[in-house]
Amino acid sequence: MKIMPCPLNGPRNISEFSCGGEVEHLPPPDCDHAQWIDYVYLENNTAGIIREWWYHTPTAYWFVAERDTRTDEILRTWPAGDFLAEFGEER
Amino acid sequence: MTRPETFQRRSHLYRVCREAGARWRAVNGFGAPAHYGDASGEADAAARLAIADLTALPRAGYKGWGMADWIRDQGVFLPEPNQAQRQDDGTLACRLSSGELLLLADDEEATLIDRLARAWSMDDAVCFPVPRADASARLVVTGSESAAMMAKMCGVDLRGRRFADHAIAQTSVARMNVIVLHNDRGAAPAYDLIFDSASAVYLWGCLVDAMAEFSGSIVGLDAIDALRG
Repeated sequence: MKIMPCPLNGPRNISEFSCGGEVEHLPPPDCDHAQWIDYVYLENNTAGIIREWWYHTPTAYWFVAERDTRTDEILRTWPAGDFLAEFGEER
Repeated sequence: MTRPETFQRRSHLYRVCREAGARWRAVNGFGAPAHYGDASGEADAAARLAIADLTALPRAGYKGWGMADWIRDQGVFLPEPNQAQRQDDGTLACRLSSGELLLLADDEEATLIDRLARAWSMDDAVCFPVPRADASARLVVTGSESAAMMAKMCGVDLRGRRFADHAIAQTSVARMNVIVLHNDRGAAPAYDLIFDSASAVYLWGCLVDAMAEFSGSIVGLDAIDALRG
């Protein structure tokens, strides 16, 4: 069983979690259709280190995890508030 | 004999408990199983392995970004997330996250829960009440074999040396989302399970199935009270 280090609950079976997709900037409200389509439908499919939203179902808790898609290793996790405080607009 | 139908409030498990031969007593407006015909034998069973329906006991919840400040202002000692702390009146304050608290009473007296219900008002609310009394059910697994039995149903190591008294795990038990609270009764290890009340019959069945291997028993509130001493 793969283990996810949840910032609230500690290490837990991955079956308790759902992935919410890669952390991305919301496009500006006046952006064109191509930008919206890219944001809503298209995945980056990066082979490397990415940051994703994850959800711990029993606690309804969202957080951010850094994962290497080549090895499927989870490298680091943050509470959502800490992540936004640390990276803010840079993400 | 008291019948559960004569009470305004009943646990989702009352039919199951009736089938098992429950004798009822009034608790917090509920008809709750006091025992199943052998009160002294049940107290011994509860020290080894047993389950009981505690849904009748009072509970409440508060959630929101302002919860911690408001609840401290009310004189509640607030533990860290995923820890519980016993309050002066005996109520357990279980902190589920930085902004959510669950309050559990171990007997019918629920001074703190009643006081908070009176203190909260919509006008100056910085957090909101969670309808735990209605939306959640509460069971307890007690006895020296309880951690071994729970290992069949839950991926978290609940043994006392890894999961201390008053620790909380919000996790999956029998594929359901369950709050597991380590809440020993006297010298007997015990785990309270708080979960969606609509699934109480399902989880009860899973527990009965899991404890058969250890010859566990169904017991009433009298046996749990006897363990607490």
